[in-house]
Amino acid sequence: MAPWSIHASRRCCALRTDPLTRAPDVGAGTATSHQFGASVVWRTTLLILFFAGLVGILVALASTVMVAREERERMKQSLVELMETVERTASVAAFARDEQLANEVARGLLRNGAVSRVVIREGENELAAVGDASVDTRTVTLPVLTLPLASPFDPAERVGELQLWPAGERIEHDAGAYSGYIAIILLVQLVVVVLAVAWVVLNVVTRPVKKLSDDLHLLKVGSGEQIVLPPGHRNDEIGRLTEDINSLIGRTGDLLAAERDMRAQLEESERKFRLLFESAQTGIFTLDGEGVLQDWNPWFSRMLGLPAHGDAARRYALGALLGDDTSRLDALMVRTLSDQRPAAADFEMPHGTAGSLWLHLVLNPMPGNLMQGIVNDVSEQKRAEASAIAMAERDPLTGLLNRRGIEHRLGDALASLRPDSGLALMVVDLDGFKQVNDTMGHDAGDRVLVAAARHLEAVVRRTDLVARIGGDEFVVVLCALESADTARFIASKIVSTLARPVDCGDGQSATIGASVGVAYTAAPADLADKLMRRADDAMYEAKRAGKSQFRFATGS
Amino acid sequence: MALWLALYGAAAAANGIAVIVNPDSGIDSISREEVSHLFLGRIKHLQPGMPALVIDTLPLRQAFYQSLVRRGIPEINAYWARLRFSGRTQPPLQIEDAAMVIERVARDRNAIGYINGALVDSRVKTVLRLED
Repeated sequence: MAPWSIHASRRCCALRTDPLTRAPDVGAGTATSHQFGASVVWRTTLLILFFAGLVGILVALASTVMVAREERERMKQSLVELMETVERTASVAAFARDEQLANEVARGLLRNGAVSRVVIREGENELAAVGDASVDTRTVTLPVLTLPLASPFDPAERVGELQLWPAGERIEHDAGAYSGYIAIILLVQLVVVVLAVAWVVLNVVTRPVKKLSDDLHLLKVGSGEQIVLPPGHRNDEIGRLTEDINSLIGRTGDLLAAERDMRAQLEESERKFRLLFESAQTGIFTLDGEGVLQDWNPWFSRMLGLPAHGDAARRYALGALLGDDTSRLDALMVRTLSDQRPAAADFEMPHGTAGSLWLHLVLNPMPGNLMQGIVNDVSEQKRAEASAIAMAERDPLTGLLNRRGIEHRLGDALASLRPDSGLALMVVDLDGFKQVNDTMGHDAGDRVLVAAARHLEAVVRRTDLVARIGGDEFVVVLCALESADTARFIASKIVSTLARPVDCGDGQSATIGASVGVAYTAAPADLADKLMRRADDAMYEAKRAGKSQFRFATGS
Repeated sequence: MALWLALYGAAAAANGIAVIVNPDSGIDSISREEVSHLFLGRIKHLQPGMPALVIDTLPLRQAFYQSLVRRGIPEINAYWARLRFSGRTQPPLQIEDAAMVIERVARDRNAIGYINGALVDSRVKTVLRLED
């Protein structure tokens, strides 16, 4: 036995000692059979021995039966021959009716151990009867043998018969002994052949295969190790198997190395992408068809106040996070998914205590009713845009709305006019401003304009609108008036306020006045420019009437 | 001597062989089979209760057995050799001369013998004639 095998079995036994001593009722047979069954060496050997033994026993049984039958037949033949040997003498005895001679013949036959009883008859006459008459002539052994005796002088004349009872037990015993002997020879031969076959199979096939199996089992793939070729098997199937296994091992090692490299590359690129994803100053996320967020990057979680990683138990709906009350996000998602094209929109969401955050959202359709989205913070741009718009609608000198600003807002004010309220538009033109400008300079003129603006603002409510639409021409819009009387009151207040002297700086003051034209309407359908023209006409009427007064437009 | 024997045999053949018994035996005729059984020991009695005295005439022995059972003298001798071993069945008494055979048969009621047919006289009775 090879050393490795001894080690293996010793280790097995050592391992099994403990459970056996702890649980003796389990029985040693379980452990032993398990150990035997686990080894291909033992299993093949036991199987060979088992089947060979089975076949051997069957063959021995069959041959015993056949040999016994053959032996009985042979004994019968020899008894028949024995009878034929004495036939002549027996014939003579029967012919001469000589009991003496007949007895002599019968006794001679009986001396043979295979004969139990002999009877010689002459006609009905029993000339001689020797042996044990009580012998049981069983059918299983040989039947009683009868030889007819002819006259020695006339073969056609029958003079008697010779009857012989075979000794059943003796024959059975002899046949049994003979067949037993044959069976023992067969079994010995079988055992020798089986042991030889088992030995050959064990050493030529099983043990090399077991060694291959053990080597392969203990082999570390990828370490460059190879299986050792069992000696003497270079040119047979086991050698080929070893070579194939080694080439497979080599190929597997190469594959493993390639896979390691590939995994490293993948990890590297994944790391890069993760870095991109995590450090991007842009929100990146995925969204399912119901608007529930699935993944997002750190920027996104910071901006929207989400945890850094998703939580399976919580569903974050993007619409709710954005504070989107008007379902614009839903419309955007529907458009993205139905058109299968990217769609974008801006969302304003409350942020911090007072401010708001403007987010530019782009949704990309993805397979499986999913969407990938990108979010950018466009608050700065929005603010810049808003201030640009504000700048475009303001008069830089007075800070009031300019013409574009008032036109823009007047439309809104008209549109939001309620049925039980009215709106008054006043055109205010300063009297004597050109003179101030010419005599005291542009700076003084500017100061006058600023002061007039402050006065106008002070007169009206915060919700009302004040604009400078030309050099010294202002517009005041009074919203949500209950009656034209309020407009009348405000107009008179404007006239009186602007009639006071204005400080022009450098200790100087200027006195100007204001002519005011008022157009009043309670109908939201009225157009802004038509209202403006009516107020303008009324203002000119006030100018013509002597300035520093107000006039209501006709039809107001 | 051989020539004499041949002539004698030829003469015997010409006159046949006569099987003879005592005239007082009460036997008138006897079958060929019965004769052979008597001379070969199968039948042991002529008269009930008394053993038969069977007599061979030596010069005629060959011709007699040849005619009776178609067997030569060696075979007949071999047959008797087997029976003599037991001692129970006795072979025929062998007498050299036909005259002595006649005398013996004439004397004994249980005797039976055979002689040349030409030599038969009134002292004995012929019960079977073998022609062959």
